Amino acid sequence: MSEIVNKNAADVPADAAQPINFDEKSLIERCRQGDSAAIETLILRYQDRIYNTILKICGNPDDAAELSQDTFVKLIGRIGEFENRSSFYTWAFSIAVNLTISFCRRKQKIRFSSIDEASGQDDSDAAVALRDFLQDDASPDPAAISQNAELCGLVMKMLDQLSEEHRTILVLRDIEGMDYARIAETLNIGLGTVKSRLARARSNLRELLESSLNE
Amino acid sequence: MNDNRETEELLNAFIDGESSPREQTEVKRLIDNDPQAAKRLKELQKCKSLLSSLPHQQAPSKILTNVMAKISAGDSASAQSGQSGQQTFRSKRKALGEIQLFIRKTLTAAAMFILVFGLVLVIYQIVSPQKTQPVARKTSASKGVLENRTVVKETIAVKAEKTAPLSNVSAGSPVQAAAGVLTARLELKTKTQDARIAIQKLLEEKLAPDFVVLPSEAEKTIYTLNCSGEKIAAVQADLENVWNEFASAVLLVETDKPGRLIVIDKITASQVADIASQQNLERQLKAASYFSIVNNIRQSRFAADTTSSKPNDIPRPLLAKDEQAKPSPGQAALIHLTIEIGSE
Repeated sequence: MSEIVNKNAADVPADAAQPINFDEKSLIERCRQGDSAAIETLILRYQDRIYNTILKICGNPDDAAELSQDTFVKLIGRIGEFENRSSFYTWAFSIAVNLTISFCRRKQKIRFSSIDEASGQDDSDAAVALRDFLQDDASPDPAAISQNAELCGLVMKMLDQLSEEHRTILVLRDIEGMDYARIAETLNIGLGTVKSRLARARSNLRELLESSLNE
Repeated sequence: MNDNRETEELLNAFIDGESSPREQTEVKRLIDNDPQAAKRLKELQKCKSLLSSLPHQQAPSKILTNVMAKISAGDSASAQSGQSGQQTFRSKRKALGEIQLFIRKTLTAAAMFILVFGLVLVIYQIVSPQKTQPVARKTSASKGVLENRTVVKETIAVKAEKTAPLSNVSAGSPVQAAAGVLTARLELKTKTQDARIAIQKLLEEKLAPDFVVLPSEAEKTIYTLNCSGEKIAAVQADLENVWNEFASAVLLVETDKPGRLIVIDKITASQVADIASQQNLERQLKAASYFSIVNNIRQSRFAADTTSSKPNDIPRPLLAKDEQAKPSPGQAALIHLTIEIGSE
């Protein structure tokens, strides 16, 4: 049984699930005092992960960069309000996710129209790769997937068709590697909601992926 | 429907490593016995793998640059309003507190200074009249009698007029004579200029610097005395020699009540000496009162003697004719006295 657990845990990205908290208190304290070097360190420490999470949720690199900037500006501005009751990691991601979801809701129509426009493109190679992947009974090779740009593009497209709620929870769990408790804290929802929402999100994604093969 | 949802959640929790040992056992049993469940588990795992295998993008470097620029340019001021507002409020409150503390300290110091100054002033008012005058006299004594007299005279001239009370001599405070020291004003009316010079010379030689000459009239010279009984006693004989040259001699002794004086008319040198020799002010005042009354009686007796044609002829009561009865034997004598008061 423990082997199963370990095997499942190994599926989580290596460094993704570990919040960055080394010497974090002193770093935050220095940021509170307006130490620009500390602020810079804090941004460098979190920017890749926050940017990636935002990018996977909003789907646009420019918007992701803009939203990341807004997240850090807001985060530094409100750092005095951070009270150590949650981890700084959770608090920072909470700000990033809330900003991104708000942005996505405002831009919903534009995003759908861009998807409609993109749907006309030829995704045949990606569809073949996806069919092979889904029908292969062998364990998936993450490296092979990440090197297949078409497949990644198609997955991103399917992800983008999910609702913000489902997309967000999948990004936090499967891309950022948060555990259920941290997801619940970041999204300010209950643990049961996390379980049910995540189940529905994966199910929907699976349907979208399968439907893309039939097109 | 509910079973499917519960199974989905169970399978998802299993692949996420979030299921309890009991749930893990249940999932293992399920996938062993139900091929559909096993297939579903694989589908979900592939879904998860697809997402977790998506490449991680590096954040553009402009994020850091732009954020730092925004923060340093103050664009983040609105975002920081909560914190900076608090900091500003704290710093303002701190500064205000420091100012209040400084003002409080300054006011306390000023109050203390005023209090001390007031106390010193009160003490000076009480002490200085008795302290300063002798000191002035002592310091000026070495410079000679005339110089001393002139200095004091000038001082007094500003403050006092001819009829100034004795208190002017002692800076306006009630007389508080030391034991055996007479503080009084002596007004001498001399018959001749020689007598005036003689008394002046005598006083300067014997009593200096314990007397002051006040602005005087042509024939009347006013002295203020502040000298011991011993000194006056020592000069008493000399004073008596020149005393006959005076047309009048009046001594004014100030009582312990401000503005009330005991005036001793026709005072003699020995009376001055007697008053001065008393041990304290109370006794001096008693002696002065006594001499004042005695001298007044003498003066009135003298005046009566000089105006009456028969100075010592006091009318005696007369017996009426029919009242001149002889006492009968065995009876007490009965005398009827009739006094007639009236002017002739």
